[in-house]
Amino acid sequence: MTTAAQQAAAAAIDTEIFANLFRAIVNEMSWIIQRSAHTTFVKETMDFGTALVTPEGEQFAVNDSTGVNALVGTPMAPGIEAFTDWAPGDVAITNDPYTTDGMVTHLNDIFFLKPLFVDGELLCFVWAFIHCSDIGGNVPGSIDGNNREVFQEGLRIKSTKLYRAGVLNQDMVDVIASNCRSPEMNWGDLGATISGLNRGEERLRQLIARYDVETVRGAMYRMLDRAEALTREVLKGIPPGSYEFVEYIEDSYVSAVPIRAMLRLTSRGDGSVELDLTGSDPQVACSFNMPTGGQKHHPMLSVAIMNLVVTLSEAPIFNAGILRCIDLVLPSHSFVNASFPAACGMRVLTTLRVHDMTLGALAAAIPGRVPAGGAGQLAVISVSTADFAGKTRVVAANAVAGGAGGGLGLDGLSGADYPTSALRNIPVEVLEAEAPVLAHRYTLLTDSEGAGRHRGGFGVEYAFEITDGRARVVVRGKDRYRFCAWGVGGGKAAIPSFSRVRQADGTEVDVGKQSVYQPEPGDLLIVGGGGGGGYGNPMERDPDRVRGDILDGLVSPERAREQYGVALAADGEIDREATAALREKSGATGDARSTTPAGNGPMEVDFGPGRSQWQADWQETYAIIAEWCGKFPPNGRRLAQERAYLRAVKRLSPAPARRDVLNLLEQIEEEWA
Amino acid sequence: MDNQRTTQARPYLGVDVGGTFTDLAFYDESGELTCIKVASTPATPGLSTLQGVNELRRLSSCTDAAWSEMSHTHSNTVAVNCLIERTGAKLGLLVTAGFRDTLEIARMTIPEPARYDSRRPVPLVPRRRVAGVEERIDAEGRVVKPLDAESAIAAAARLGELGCEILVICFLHSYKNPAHEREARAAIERELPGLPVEISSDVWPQAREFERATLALVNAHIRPAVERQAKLLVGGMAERGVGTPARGSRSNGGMELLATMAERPVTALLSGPAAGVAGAAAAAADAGWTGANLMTLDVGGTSADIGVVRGGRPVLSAEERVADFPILVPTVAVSAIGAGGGSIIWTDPTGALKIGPKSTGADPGPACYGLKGGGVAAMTDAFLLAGLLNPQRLLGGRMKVHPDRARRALEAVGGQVGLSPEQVADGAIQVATAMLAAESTSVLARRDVDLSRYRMVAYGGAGPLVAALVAEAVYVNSVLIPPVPGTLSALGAAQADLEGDFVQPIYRGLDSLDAASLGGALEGIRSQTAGWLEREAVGLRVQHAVVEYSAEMRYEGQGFDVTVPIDEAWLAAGDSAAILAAFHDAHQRAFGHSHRGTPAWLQELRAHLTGRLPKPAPASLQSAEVGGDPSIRNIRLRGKEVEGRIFNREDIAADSRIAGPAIVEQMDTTTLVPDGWMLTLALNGALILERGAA
Repeated sequence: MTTAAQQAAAAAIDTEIFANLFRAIVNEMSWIIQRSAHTTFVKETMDFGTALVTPEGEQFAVNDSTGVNALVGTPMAPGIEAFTDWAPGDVAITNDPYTTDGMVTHLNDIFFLKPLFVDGELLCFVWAFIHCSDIGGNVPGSIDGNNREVFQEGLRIKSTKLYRAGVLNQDMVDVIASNCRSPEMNWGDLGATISGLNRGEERLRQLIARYDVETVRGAMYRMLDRAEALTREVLKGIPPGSYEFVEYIEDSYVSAVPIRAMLRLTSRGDGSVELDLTGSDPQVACSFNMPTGGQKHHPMLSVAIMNLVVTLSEAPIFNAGILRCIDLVLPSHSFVNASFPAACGMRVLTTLRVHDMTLGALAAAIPGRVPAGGAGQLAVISVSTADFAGKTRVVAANAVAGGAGGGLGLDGLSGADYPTSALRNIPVEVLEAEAPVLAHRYTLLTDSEGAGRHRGGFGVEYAFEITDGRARVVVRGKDRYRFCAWGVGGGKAAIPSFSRVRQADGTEVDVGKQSVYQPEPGDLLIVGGGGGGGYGNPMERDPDRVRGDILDGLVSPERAREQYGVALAADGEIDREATAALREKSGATGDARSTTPAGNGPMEVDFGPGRSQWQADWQETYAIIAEWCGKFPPNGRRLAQERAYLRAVKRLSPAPARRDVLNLLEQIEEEWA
Repeated sequence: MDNQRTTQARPYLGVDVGGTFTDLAFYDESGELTCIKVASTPATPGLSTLQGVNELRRLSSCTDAAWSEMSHTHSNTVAVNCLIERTGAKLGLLVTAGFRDTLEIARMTIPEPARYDSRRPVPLVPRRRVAGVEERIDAEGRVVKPLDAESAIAAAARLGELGCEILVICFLHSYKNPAHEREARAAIERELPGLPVEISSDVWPQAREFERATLALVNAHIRPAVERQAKLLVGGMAERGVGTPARGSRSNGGMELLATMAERPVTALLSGPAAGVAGAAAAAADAGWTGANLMTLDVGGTSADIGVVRGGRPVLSAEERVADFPILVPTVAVSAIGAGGGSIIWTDPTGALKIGPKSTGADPGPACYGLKGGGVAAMTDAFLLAGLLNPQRLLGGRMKVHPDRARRALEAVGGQVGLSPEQVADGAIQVATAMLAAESTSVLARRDVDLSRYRMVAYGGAGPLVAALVAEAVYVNSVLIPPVPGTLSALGAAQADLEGDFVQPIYRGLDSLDAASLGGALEGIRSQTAGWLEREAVGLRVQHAVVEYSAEMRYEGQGFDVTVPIDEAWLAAGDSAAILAAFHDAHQRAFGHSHRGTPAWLQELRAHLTGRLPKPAPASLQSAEVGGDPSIRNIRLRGKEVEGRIFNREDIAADSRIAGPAIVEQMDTTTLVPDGWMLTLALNGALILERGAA
């Protein structure tokens, strides 16, 4: 056997051994942080993470036991390059997107980096992040859709050494403590994270003592190469070619103008893909902006491809190696690559939309292997109480998502959407003991799903009353109130999300996306998440499954007839004759086998009435304006776009002629000259 | 675990029912131990036990009088099997109106969030058999909306028509105030006699509606099967001349009357693994490791179980999952990993060698079994080819083993990545060791264990084989192999104490609790413990009963609880300052920091009662006076081929010091002593492996 062959053989064994050893370290760090953290975000929703990082900034081992996978593989080079004087015992922290080229993407995430030196030489970094419940800013919890600039979102900490050679920088601690609303809890989380980092370092040192430093170093890079190779295996399954899809955040909170994201997904056939988001809207004057620093690889915009790889790979390894196969092309000054000082607190919604947009492009490329669109929102409810002594307390009450899309031969997940499915809800009994809340309903919504051969998941509704007149409710992250989850391949769109208040006298008021609500006594707040989109023709759905949904009270008999062509007899069994007749009338064969197009053909997408109507009326106008506003300097584009669009909607009738739109734009230009 | 061994006047029997075999461990009145294995009878749970008892009666020279006085503790594997297969009672669920989807939504999350095909486990009760009832109690236990008994009866009647055999009621905040659950049950039982009703506040009154409902449902689901088995065993043992009441082992490592257990069988779901950990703790104590901190490692055919013993006692947890379901009752914390003798060896597309999670199972088993449909390489094949297992002694010598087939299977794996079969075998053992080590570290970190102060007890068919290798990887330097490592769960059952767990819900800020409320909580939990002990002690000589109190506490706003040991006197005196100080200390110990100014909440008061019972005297040391000569076999380990000395367990002299590399073979297991380790014998005949003790 040649030396090369011997090395390869040794690698076959060592790779898996070190995969386990590294995994043990990051998972142990996670448990320490989770066990000792103080805030609900870290504890219950598990919004934190740990990793080991190469000196070049690639995460080669990432914990798989916590709730966050949208940060796996985050490029760490900017955080590392912030210092040229790294020394043993240092711990650097930062939460600032704009001095880290989008390493951090909103201020609530605090990143920690600790270098590991062996005999004076840097081997790697130990990393952790926690979502800090409050980092100051204009609302409790810091995140608000209405924020226009990052300055409103709390304290910005550019990369700073919290520990310098093991010595705590107390001044820094004091600055943080005096700029957030619950400093004790934040310090609890910080302390927990430091404990986790220290354990990680200790374990790595033991590893180096057992093996030698070169073996460990070699294994580090092999983890990345292996993840990359496994990813390429999966992505080679996407037929070469380009696939396009467009998604919208239907409005920007501060204006009624939709935010457009555009994708051209190119499979190069070598196991890599390019996600080109050129054409996506300029950065917006609310907090949906994603400050990615224009990085070529970034997990926040790659979630769908990463999930696809994990789903389809036989032996996935979760690290930055996956991202090496996903190249991003991001227009500068856009909401997917925002510049200072764009607000970015609620960028999760952008992640959700880009996720669904990627699914849309993949649906045409690999039909049947990705789900349809999901409810695509994360309405995080928090209740803040202020006593008369002025002390404020904020309790995260719950997060309402909605349903996920059907696909991969399965019905969609109900009451949760894939990109946020790591989140746990807060039990009613726990919440009511901690906050002045009385929950009335937490239930799935009948007939809310996108119909399909594999139907979407059902939407969900959380209805609650506030029992303390001094408390107020903040709900952030609402979307898809008009542009609902889309169905594909013959599958249908679902119902949209909603927010209502049922007042004591019984009248119901639609409160839409209003984020802060001061309840009156007896008000019932209802926060709803829509369903997930359906996959495949619903008339081909297994009638027994339709019957099951009827018996479970999730699909009404009327809807079963209309959408699925299934009728039940009086005894609750399937009326075969009536069913056959209904299905024949719809033109379906009743054959449950796949009828979805293969290869590169465009997939039929059902966007639902809200978006379809808007597309018919204004999509073209929108596109013309979007192109036009390219002539303005980057920071003025969104303003121009909004003004022009709102003027067009006001002055022109739906589906105007191109000439009329251009005339209008000419007028506007004259006014502004 | 009590290390004091009393000369016993009566025999002890412990039983563990596995998927293939039923183990019985029997100490007669003179303390002589007999362990036997009989084939399990899954179709009639309990029958194999009685068949084993017949055999024991034949084998044992125990007198009839002593036999009749036997203390016998039975297995409850039926409970977990019934749950895994979901073959138990058809259930209906009544919940507070508005919360019909408590089971469907569960905790919202899915098992593998990055996978598009990951789904929540299918609920034990489908939505069609869940109904809402008009009623509401708030977090303080106050009635917000009175129970509409008529709606409860109507809903129950509908569920009855759907064929529900048992109804479970789980109303919001019933852990705090069970009045509505009780009223609803009374109304339904009155109007619909013959439809059994169970309430969640009776099973385990703890906050978190999804988890509490799940616990009550699991309990009801498995109850009929457990009752059937209890009936069979109670009658069967009496027919076999045993006059003492039958007891069953529990998930907390203790035991209770089968009659009691049949009321709340959910406390027995993990009794098998729990008895194993308890048996390991007992074996360590017998070997002179008194009050030890231990990691236990049980490696079987398809999985490895890891448990923790702290200060000589199994660590309990209330966060275990069994067959998809969260189980909140205190349970010996055992984490299972899909790595055992049957785990398949394969290579991924990048050429990396992988183990499991798929397993060849018992049939066709590893390639070396030579069974039809076999031929896939599994860990046992690797052990065999590496020279760690003796083909003549595998499977107790009952079955012919084919090393050539093991070789061929490993060759097929290695061919894809340029490894020889020997390299694959060696590599697979290294990878399996790393997997076990990685999982152990993660599991133990979760249990707040710093392994550097721990020792290990290894058992199960393959545990002693990999024990020292795993120990090295997790920086543990001492390993104990019990004398009979293949039947440790049965031994644990034979030596079980009475162990009871009790909870008193409080869920309030500590500063809002005055002396009267603390005293009241103490009284509440005292009456529970006293009642249980009185019932359970029938026919037993309880040497002493100890009640330990603890509180589940957290800082205001903190997301989960810290267990704080509580002195009974603090409760009696209403000394909340002492409780607060103890909480700060516990937090500091566990996490390295505390926050003296932050208000604390007292979630639950808990009590753990241990009724200590006389134990069988330790088995007499069965060691050769003069050591036998070892044979020599080549073994392959960590890339090196070395000559290993092979010993028969029976031939090892009491004062032996055997340096690795060596292998010890015995009827039910094989122990590997790697290079750098030293083997000695403990007083009770256990093998002790120590690293660097040469």
